[in-house]
Amino acid sequence: MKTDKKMVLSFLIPAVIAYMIVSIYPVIHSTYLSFFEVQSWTENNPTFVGLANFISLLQNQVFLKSFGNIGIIWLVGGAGIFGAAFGFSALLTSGIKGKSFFRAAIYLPNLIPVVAAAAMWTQYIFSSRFGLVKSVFSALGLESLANIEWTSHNIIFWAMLIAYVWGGIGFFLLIILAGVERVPVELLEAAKLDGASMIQIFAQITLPLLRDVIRVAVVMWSITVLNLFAFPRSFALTYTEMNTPSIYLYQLAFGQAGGTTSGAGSGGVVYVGMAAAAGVILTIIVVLVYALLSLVFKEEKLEY
Amino acid sequence: MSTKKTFVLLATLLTLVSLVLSGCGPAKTPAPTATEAPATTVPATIAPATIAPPTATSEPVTLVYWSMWNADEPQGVVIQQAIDAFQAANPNVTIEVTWQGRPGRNLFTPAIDSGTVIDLVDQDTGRIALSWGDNYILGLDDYLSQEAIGGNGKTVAETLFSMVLNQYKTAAGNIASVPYNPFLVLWFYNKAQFATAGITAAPTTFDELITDLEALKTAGVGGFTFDPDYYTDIMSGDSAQRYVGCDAFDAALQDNTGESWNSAGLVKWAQDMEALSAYALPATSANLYPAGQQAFALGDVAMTYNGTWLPSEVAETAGADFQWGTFSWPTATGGVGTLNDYDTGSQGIAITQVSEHPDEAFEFIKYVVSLDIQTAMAATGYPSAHVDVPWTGAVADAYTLVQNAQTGFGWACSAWDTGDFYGNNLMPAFTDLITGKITADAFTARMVAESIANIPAP
Repeated sequence: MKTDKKMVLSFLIPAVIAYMIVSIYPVIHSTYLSFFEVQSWTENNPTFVGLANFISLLQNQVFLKSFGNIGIIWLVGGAGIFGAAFGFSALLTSGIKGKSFFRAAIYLPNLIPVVAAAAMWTQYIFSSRFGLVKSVFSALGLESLANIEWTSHNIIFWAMLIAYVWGGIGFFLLIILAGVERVPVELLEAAKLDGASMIQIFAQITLPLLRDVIRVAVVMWSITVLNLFAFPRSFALTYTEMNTPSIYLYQLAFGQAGGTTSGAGSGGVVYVGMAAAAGVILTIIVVLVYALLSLVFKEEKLEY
Repeated sequence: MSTKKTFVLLATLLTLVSLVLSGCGPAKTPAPTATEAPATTVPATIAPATIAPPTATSEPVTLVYWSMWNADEPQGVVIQQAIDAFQAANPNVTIEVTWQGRPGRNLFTPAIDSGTVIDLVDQDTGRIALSWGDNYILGLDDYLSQEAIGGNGKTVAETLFSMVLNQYKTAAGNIASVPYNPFLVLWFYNKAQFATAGITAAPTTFDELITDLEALKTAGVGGFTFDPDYYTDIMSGDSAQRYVGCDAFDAALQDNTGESWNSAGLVKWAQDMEALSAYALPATSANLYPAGQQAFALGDVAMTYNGTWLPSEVAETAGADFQWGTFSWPTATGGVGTLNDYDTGSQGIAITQVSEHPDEAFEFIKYVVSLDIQTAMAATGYPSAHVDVPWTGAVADAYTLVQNAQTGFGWACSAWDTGDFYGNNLMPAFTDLITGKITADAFTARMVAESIANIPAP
């Protein structure tokens, strides 16, 4: 079919312009702001401070700790999510009855709004007075476990991580399950006839054939974690133990919002330039992580 | 022109028009977050204004008003009533109100900077004076000397609680807004449970507080609880104010040597908080808003530290027969704070510098803070800023307190504005101290060590 370049351009240009306005411009403007001390969103004469915002952030314990937090979430949460997703995918492809039901049930948490899910976990499951966890452990006579204060500031991060893993399994299960179902049954049966164990089959056949799927899943997981904001913030609004880089960025930009009608923090002090610098750092890290993962998981076309 | 070319042109035109129009449409008002909007019930009826507002102008004038409330919140309902009455008495004045909700505070300055004309705006009085201040807001000192509506000769300033009116000023020293919906942070207690324990008067000193808590314990009544994720800041800042004052507390939070925590006042503060922790409801450190205040409303404890919005938030749980009482944070032996110093604030209404009709705008403000509208505000269960309008219902006791109030200080001594150390280090440590997880000595040692490690050199 003959391509009409003018027609293609006429459809593309509005979208390109819209994309540049809503995506590229904020990136450029944020990068510009990151070199200035800006104490309000509309300051007319910001002070140029060079790399001071970046240096300050890289020496800031709160900012560094927030990266430590997402490091733990990526590693421990990732292990939990991918471990469970692989486990469930093995179960669901084993010929189990009611596969569609279980698949839908495991995916269900993804349909619950973040704030509702956080409220459910904090107020009804982890509650130290009448929560599900307390009730179950008490019924089993495990008082020391029943008395764990899951929502106290010292361990609420781990409680949040458990809840976050619960919510994330379904999404990654669907991705992995789609890959597992594409693995030819003949290969698995041939290996079985040759005497390979289930673990050998998984490690030497299934896993290598899922390389591209795993690559996509790990990239998605990494970017999701790097930008994590809503769930930990909904879990406990003001606990800095829950800080992620995005949450800290928000606090810098909009002030530390307490829970009051008056909006706590009387002066509403904001650090827009520093927040922009945090955004730039975060963007650079996202790009680096993506590049690193692309190196680790080199794209290979496997045909089977 | 070929059919194909016509189609291409039409498609392009439609796409461009839709893009342009999508940018021109009315902005969707973001919903307030659940944590910021006070849970309350809109009153079925509000007393109508009995004093007609004065005629402000004979020329047609339109005032654009950005409100921090949503239209169905009690304060929004009262303000809408004030607008209706004001417009009825002033047919030449039209007030175009936009119910921005809480997120409006982030939109105000960008809107002004981009040329939007806004005449009236309401917000937290601290935010108006300190964040927006002289760049955006008109100084109101001269206007405040005008005679109040229905004030029997009093000026507008004289009809308002001085503590909240004068709490915040701009860098140039101007009063930037007129408070109309103040709050106090107080100890709330259950009078019935106090009576059960034989307590006849609210405590005024820390020693009396401990004596009363011991009496409650003996009577089998729980002591106190709170929600650490929301109110550790006011628990720590307001208590410290009684011992060393806000300036010294804020200075300690910025002292990178940590030596401030070894001062006599802050050591005594830590020791008293350790003593207080003995009466905290078990698992208080695990409370997440609103678990703690619900425990108070359910009668699990006799006391909680909160703001004057609390009764509205727990009204359904507490029930109509709950016997509400309030008292100021007790004084400390050797401390500098008094019973008449309060963590307070208010929503205030201000006039922008871009307003072309500041006189008419202030006429409306005068009406909002008039006796009638403030009476309607008080009827919603929220405190009024008018000195002659008693607070009602659960906050009725607090009206006596606010009449004696002298000094208002910012939320938790404005400690959030001192830097990251407060939220990241002091609050977790204070939560551990006030809930009995660590001793006063351990708290002090932790603060010294963490100050050295985390507070940057000035």
